[in-house]
Amino acid sequence: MADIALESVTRKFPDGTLAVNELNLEIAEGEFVVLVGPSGSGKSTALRMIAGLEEITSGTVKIAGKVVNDLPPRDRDIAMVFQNYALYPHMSVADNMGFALKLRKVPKEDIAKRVKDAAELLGIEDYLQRKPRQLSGGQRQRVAMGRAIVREPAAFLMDEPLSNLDAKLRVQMRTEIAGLHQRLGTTTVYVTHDQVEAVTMADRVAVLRDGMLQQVDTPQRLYDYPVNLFVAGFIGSPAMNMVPARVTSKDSGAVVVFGSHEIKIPAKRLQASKLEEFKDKEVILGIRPEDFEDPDLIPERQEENLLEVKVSLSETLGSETIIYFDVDAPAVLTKDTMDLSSDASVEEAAASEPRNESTFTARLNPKTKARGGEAARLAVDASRLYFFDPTTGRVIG
Amino acid sequence: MSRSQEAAIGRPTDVAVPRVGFGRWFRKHKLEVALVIPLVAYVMVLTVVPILDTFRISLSGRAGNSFPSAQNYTSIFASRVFRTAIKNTIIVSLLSLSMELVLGMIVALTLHAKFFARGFVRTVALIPLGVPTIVSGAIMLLLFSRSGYLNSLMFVFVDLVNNIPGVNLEFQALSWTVAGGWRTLFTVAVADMWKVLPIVTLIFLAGLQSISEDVYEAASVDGATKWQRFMRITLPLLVPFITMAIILRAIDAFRIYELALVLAGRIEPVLGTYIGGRYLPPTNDPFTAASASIVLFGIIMIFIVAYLKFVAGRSRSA
Repeated sequence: MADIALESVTRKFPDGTLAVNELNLEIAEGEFVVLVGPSGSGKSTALRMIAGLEEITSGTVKIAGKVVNDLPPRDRDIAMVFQNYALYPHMSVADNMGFALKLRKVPKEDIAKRVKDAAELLGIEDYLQRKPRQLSGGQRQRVAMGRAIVREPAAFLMDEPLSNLDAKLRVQMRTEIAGLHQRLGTTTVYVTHDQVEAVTMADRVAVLRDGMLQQVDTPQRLYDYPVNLFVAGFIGSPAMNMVPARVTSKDSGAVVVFGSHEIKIPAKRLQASKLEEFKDKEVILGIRPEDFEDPDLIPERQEENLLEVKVSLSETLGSETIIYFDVDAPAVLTKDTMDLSSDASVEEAAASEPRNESTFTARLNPKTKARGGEAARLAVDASRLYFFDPTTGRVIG
Repeated sequence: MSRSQEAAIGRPTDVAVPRVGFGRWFRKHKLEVALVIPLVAYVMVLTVVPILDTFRISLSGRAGNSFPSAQNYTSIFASRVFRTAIKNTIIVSLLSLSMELVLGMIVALTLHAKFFARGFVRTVALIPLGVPTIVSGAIMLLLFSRSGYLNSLMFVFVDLVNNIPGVNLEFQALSWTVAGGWRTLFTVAVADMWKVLPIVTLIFLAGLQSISEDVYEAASVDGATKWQRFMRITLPLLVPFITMAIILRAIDAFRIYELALVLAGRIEPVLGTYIGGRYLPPTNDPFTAASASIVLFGIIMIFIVAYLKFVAGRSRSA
């Protein structure tokens, strides 16, 4: 086990693309860190630099306090799980798992024992004599995990290990990998483009975009305190609703206006942030789908901050009901939101056609009577509004 | 699979379909039969019938009254020249095959690596394939004849070595091709290797490209050095391609003719030139030529069966 440190790590491809730009990241011993971001964000390149499979243009990578920039992968004491598993097709499952130990000249009996232990841990002891092509996708995935586990390495590096599995198996393996990490306690760096995978498994999540680290924090803090529009839109499913808005004074307080809607900003929220500076200027307002509710279904009666909307579609999921409604304000079209909408994991990202309308998502108590095609009233939790600077995309707070 | 489908792809067991059934089958598959007839006729007239006829001739005698007789076979096996031809054929085949495999692997590994103008170099490497065999034989004569390039090189080398004080090597110009013995066989094998190296290289290159890059990456993370990656990953995964190359090339190598004719003439016969020599003037003996052909045919069949079993069969079941 070991800690991993990336210090100003940069990777510039021969064609000039900056795949990873000045990445600083410290991964503590035993920590499970997920690198997440849309495709092309540099997360896999970062992982491959830790593994030694990708050249480091500048900066240093340290494993267990030792600079490993010039060490080949085999001298870094790390194990890697690949997206396509990369099993050795000509070897049996047992040989696949024991390959690294065999190269290290570990005695045969020891190899057999460690392979057997790992196979039991993963429930693949019945397949040890099979060849990879005789296994299903899920079984291959386990073998790839087993190959990493028998090594007892300083760290596990996993490059989208679940993306080739079907949805159900992915959820199951997600729990299993998290469980394995709890049991083995090995430092793990895990790359995924799926923010759900990231927040469910990680001790800490590092969000990357265009080779730059956006934010690194615990999943809950990323959700509660995103630093910019990109992180706000990326973390959370369904994604945060965003809309251009204006903060103005009204009566004795302040309100935020978007389209024909108006929400009163609690005085505390206004005082605690730099929001005052943005008065009468344009901001981007963010509301999480979870912060809408059917006013009839909240414990305390709410008199203000009720939006009158026309529901265009409702999805009943049993545990919750998702409704979609249009707001008469243009969609947010900054680089942040464009990057998000190209990513498959973000549903209902801002529509790209330039019209004075954007679709909002709300996540309601399943007892709600709001149905597609009907009008509805929605209560907004005004204490949980997010405001962003439209020029920088940074959160105002 | 239904009966008619089976019949359509020509299972021999279905030849004896009842008459009524056959009539109905024929009406149903008129077009297919019409389309297959030219190919069947081609194979019959140009392959099957000549082979059968050669077989018949090989069992006939000059007098024509002793059919069938094994007399031609006993006479060629009694002939020292024929036994030498078989031995030479095997030597040339093994020699050129092993050189092709080793060099083909080296060239394929080189062409597989990424480097400047790789596409151009890959194309250039194919050139020997486009050279007519007889021409490549002529090129080899330029290399290996008494005043050829190889001897010139040897002289240069000997002169260089002789610069070292105390060394005094002597080199006599060798006539590699007509010297007889291993030198002649070696030149034939080199010529054959030069000619077909591109095919072997292409087979290996295809094999190398079928191995996915992340398997190598996994191996290097697992602790394998470059050499270990080659020995434990590349070679085992290339086995089907190596088998294919060996068998395909063996089939070809045994029926070597033009190169042996140009470079070795009658000094060191191989089966091909032996058969030609028996058949053509001044010998004019089609009977022993036929029986020697049948022997060659038998050797080649062994490799064809091996190919069907180890290469074609495996790819079907995979």
